[in-house]
Amino acid sequence: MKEADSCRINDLILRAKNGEKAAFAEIYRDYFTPVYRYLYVRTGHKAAAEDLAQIVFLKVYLAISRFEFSAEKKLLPYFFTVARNTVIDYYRRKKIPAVDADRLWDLADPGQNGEEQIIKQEQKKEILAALRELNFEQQEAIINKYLNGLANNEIAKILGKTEAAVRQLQCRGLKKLRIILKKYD
Amino acid sequence: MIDWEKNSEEILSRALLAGEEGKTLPEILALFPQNQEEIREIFEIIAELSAQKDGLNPAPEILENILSNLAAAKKNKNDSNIKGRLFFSLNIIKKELFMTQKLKIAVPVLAVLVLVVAGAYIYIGNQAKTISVTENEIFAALESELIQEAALAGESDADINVALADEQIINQFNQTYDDSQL
Repeated sequence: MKEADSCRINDLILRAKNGEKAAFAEIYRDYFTPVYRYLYVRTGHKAAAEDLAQIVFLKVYLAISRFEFSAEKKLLPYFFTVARNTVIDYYRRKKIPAVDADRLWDLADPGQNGEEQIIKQEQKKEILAALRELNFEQQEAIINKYLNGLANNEIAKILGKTEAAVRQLQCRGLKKLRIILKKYD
Repeated sequence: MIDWEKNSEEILSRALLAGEEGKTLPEILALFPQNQEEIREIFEIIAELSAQKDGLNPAPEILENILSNLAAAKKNKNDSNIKGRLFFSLNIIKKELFMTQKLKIAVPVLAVLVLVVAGAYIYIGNQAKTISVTENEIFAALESELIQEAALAGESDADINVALADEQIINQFNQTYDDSQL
């Protein structure tokens, strides 16, 4: 994350702590998309991702007054830690519904562009489905790195691992993805 | 050629690091001439994953909905804090309910077991009671028969006594009655 971003977030948190709703809204807008994306890929269901996103943001909102911002303790890993725990809780509590391959990844309508767009969507479905075949930690390491653009040191904090361990998870996950995608072909 | 199967993690780790340092794909591939195919395929997967970002954006209405619910959540939290002084914490109740949910299988099985054991206990108890009642009845019947037999024996003695008394009266009559006197 850029230094300017950190300063802005610090300022937003201070304003949010003083009850400024616009600051809250700005924080959520900055973090909502990556958190939602993470939840969507982890669950594979749009509705589940929406419900869990609501829970994550409520948890953060209720805890924000206790959040101590520092160079080491940033808000983005905190959001993802909450999101991760929420996903774990979701899988623990809920019976996972049988996955309907056509309904999973209810992506946008291909529209008028025709065949090329349909092929792209199929590729998208394939890669996201392959991603879900990885183990939990491999998924975490890859989603946060390549879909959400987090640095390995941030992912390491979320997962409670060293950076080397995170890189190892990514390498193993990517190797496995290559094998899975070859099977799909 | 470096064996990909044996050294893939190390090679890939170095390739990823080179990518993070800003090297382009051709530059990275040039570093690993013997494993270009594998590395190219993996970097294509990474590019494809990164390209999914834009297609996985949430609808703005979801966020608006969440933000509009936050004030209510804060109010509920404050209410809950006040209520918490008087009543059980809602969270504790929720946890208890969750535990019940976790024991979804164990609780019914335990309940069935308890019912079976209780049923068996009651059934065996009834059986024992039936046996003891039957024994008592037999004893009572035997006792009653003995009493009846004793009574019958008493009646029989009385009959004998009556018969003996009659015999005595006849003897006395015979002694007092003399045919020759007629």
